[in-house]
Amino acid sequence: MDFRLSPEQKMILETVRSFVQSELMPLEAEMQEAELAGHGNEYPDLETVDRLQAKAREFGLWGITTPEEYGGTDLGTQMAALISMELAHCLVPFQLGGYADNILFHANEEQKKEYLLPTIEGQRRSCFAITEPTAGSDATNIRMSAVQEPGGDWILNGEKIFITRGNEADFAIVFAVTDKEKGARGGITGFLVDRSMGWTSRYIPTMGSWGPARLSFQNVRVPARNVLGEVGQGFPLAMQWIGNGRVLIPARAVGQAERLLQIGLDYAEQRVAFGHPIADYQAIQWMLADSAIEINATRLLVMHAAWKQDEGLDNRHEASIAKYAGAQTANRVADRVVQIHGGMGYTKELPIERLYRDVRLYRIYEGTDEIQKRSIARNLLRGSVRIGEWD
Amino acid sequence: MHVVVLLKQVLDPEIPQKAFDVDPVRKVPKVERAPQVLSIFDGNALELALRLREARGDATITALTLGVERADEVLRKALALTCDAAVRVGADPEALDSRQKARLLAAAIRTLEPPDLVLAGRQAADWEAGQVGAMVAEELSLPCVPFVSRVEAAEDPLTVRQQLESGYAVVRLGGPSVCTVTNDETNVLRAAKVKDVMAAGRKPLRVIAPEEIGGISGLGPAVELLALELPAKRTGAEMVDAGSAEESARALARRLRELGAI
Repeated sequence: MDFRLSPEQKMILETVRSFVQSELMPLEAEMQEAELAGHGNEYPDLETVDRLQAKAREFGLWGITTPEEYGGTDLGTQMAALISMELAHCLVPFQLGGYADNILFHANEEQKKEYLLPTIEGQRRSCFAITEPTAGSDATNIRMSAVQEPGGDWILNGEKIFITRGNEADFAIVFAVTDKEKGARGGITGFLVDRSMGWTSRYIPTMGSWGPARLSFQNVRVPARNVLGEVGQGFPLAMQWIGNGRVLIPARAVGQAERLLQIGLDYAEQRVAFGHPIADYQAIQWMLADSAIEINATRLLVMHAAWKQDEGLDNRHEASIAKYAGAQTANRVADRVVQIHGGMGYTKELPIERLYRDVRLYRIYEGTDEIQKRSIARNLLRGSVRIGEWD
Repeated sequence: MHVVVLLKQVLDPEIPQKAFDVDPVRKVPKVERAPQVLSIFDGNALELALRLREARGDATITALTLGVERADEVLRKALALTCDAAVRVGADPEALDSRQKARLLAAAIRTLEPPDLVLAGRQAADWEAGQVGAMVAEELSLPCVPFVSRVEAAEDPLTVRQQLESGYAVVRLGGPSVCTVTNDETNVLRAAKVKDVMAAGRKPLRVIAPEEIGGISGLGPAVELLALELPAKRTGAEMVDAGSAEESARALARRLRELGAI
């Protein structure tokens, strides 16, 4: 069991660190100004993200999970997780480019040219649309309908909600019911739907920097060639998309929690109360210690789930555990760091309150805490994982 | 044009003070668990070499280090930064003084294609002796230009900028030379590109045993380290606070004068 990073991993992280220091960190002040001016949630704008992604590309930080034949560097999940942690040390929300939704790789050759390749290149923007006002965690209950006309075209009707990048996307990967009787077992189909085909989006203001959209489909006509995969086989694809994020989302949560802990530690050493730095008091020390314990544990959970993925092993159980732990850790650490800062932590003078609001999302999106726990418990009850067993 | 860059792996100077310790018996820093990095001025030397190659197009760069196996990391880094070849003299630098190290490095350079330019950091970030570069020049009977910060003209004859206390000099090199490199804003070591990092792992790395190149037989240490200790910890700071900034400044100046500091 070797927990050391390889020389390659160290060097790539050095490159990431260099990018973070030279390109991302200088934007933190700008982000804080935007926050004070009341539009922090919209920071950074698309233009800035595009510029940063292009800059990162110069460092070779591009398509880190994209296969080499599609122009990526395919560094594997463990490296991607380490990079996510490193990037998250900067408070400016940012993701590397050269990426496309994993399920687009199931597209046919023609679709790959039209959707996958331009998405990887950053020329097109996608969004993944399954959640509906009446179907969130219970995604099998979606109602959006897709009815095939005699000519072959499909007509889509319905609403999607909380769609990440839904406002920016020029096409959506949409899941709709094509056979009510069969439902999730053969009755849901994935479609690639251009915005120009007629769907509309509306921004949903939230308490954090996540700005999802509500998508509306009213008699949107989609050609038969835009079915992703096979008719009726959409649900497993959707689950594959959701499963993919369960390692990298907590990786980002770990990185953010690490930065928060550093901010808390620095402040505790510098802030004097009752004649001593507050770091001298046990109440503060325990907050720091609890945070360090949880961050360390979560980091190992994430890396274990990532390792299993790289080894081609079934990591769904570990990924659920990592996703849950990441969400919990980021929230607890954010809460403690606000507490360590006292009144200052509650103000918009410091970036802590923004993170405090932002990390709340981890417990909700891409599988709520409760859904993760349900999966974990089911795995135990069904005997698909054994307690105390190593891989 | 062949450029040899001397690189040294050192204890990370960024480690917290609390994490640094020395072994007073062996008279070496305790480095077993501490992170090791490329010495900063050697990084500047490497960047200067990379820029020179970019400007000329016809240069090849060999990265050369002296160290135990762990030091391969700095060579891998050099390869990831697209150096053309990497060589390590397999010896423990803590067991050698500057003259002995220079002897071995010069002997290793003689096994390579004769260099037109040898670059070294002006001093390493561990002992800060600043001797090896000049001693390598002496061993190779080459002229040495210390404190070079950039290449002024990349075409032959090569012209470099040498930092002086009160400005800089532009020096034309008459032929093969050794330059020790200091930092400036143009030679901050770049980050490696991801694909080059991945490719570096597949590039060969040559290790030379000291015996293969004549060793250091007959060359004893020129200096002897008598003791190595951490500075004694002292506490007690005097705070000067006389209310306003002006008053405090006056009080501080008075106090400094009393102490004979100014």
